[in-house]
Amino acid sequence: MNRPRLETVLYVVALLLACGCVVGGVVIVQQARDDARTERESPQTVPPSVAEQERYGAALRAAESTALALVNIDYEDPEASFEAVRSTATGTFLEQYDASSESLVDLVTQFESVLTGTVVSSAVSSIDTDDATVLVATDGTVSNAQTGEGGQARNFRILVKLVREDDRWLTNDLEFVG
Amino acid sequence: MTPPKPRRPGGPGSRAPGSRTPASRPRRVAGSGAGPSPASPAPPTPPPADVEDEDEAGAAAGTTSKQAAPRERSRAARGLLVAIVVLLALAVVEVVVIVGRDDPGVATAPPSADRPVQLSQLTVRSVVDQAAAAATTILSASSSSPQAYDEQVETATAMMTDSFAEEYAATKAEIKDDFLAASTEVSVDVSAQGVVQASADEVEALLFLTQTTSKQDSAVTPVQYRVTVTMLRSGDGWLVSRLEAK
Repeated sequence: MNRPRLETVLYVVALLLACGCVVGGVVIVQQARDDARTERESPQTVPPSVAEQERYGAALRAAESTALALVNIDYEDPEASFEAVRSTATGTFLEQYDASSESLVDLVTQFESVLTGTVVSSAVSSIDTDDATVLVATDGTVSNAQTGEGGQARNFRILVKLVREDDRWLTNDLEFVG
Repeated sequence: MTPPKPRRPGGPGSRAPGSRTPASRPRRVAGSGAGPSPASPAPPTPPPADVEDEDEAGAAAGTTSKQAAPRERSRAARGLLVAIVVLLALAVVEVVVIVGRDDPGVATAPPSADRPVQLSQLTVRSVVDQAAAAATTILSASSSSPQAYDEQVETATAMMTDSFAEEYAATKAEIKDDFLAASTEVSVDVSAQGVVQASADEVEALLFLTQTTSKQDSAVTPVQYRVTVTMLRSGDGWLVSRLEAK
């Protein structure tokens, strides 16, 4: 019995591979068309890209930074505490904070207030490319001349509005949710 | 098994020792080792002639055509090998594209601090809305009648996973008598809501709630607090699997 020639075997293998590649190409084109149609018909149901997922993380971290700075104030070094808030702020919030910081420093110093806190949880309420609204829940205590050293519990619910400037999320508005 | 049949006149006995046989087996000549590889370049010396090729070429073919045939084959084999390598590379690329196309650019790892939300905005919004509605139902309660109390429990447990529903129903049964006796009314409003993290099957929502509780012998007392609600995807949609005060 004759053995098949090597060229024949190679030819068959090449032919099969070529057929496979054609089928693969058709599948890829079909999938690309399906993806495009899905995105066109309902863009909001498309899972977020890696960049969009990272946007959520960045917005949460930015809002947590502002909240953390706000709930950690020490009368012995109030300027450092206020500077920590300022570094995360912009726009309206920064203007308001700057405007009130002097009286806040006076109050904190006068009552020897120490506010300490941590972020318990945070969540994105809404987000797009350049704006986000984030909920931040903090736990902490405040101690001052009136409360004594033990202090009192101070748990806050904060709504932080962020804007993105130069690829950095900054707090533009802030509200303690009553 | 029958021995190969000679194609030329004369039986095996008529051939001289060491001469070529017309059968397909002996294809090598002394000193040629395993024979030339079809894919290897043509050697400088004439390669051993294949008996069949010799037959095909005919006795009239000269030395040049005897050398050219294997060279041609070798060239063809080389070309085919190159084509196969190129096609294989293309096939690998296609497989990678097809396999990775399910979620282009979408991370499949579990939610992390860097990428906490891996669901579409529309789905996230819908599930967080469901979490808020479920929390309102779960935490509200009426003592207008035992039936109303039971109906609230039934409505609330329908929004939960089995294990959480069991836990919740047991707690509600435990406090039922005292709750009804005090004519307690609890209502809950959601002040703000958002998504903490979300994967394809699990969403955690943070809610800022204001709960108002009134009893027969006491004034209305609004309480503001935070809860996280964990929603699990199931065959029946998204169900509450945990509700935790923060």
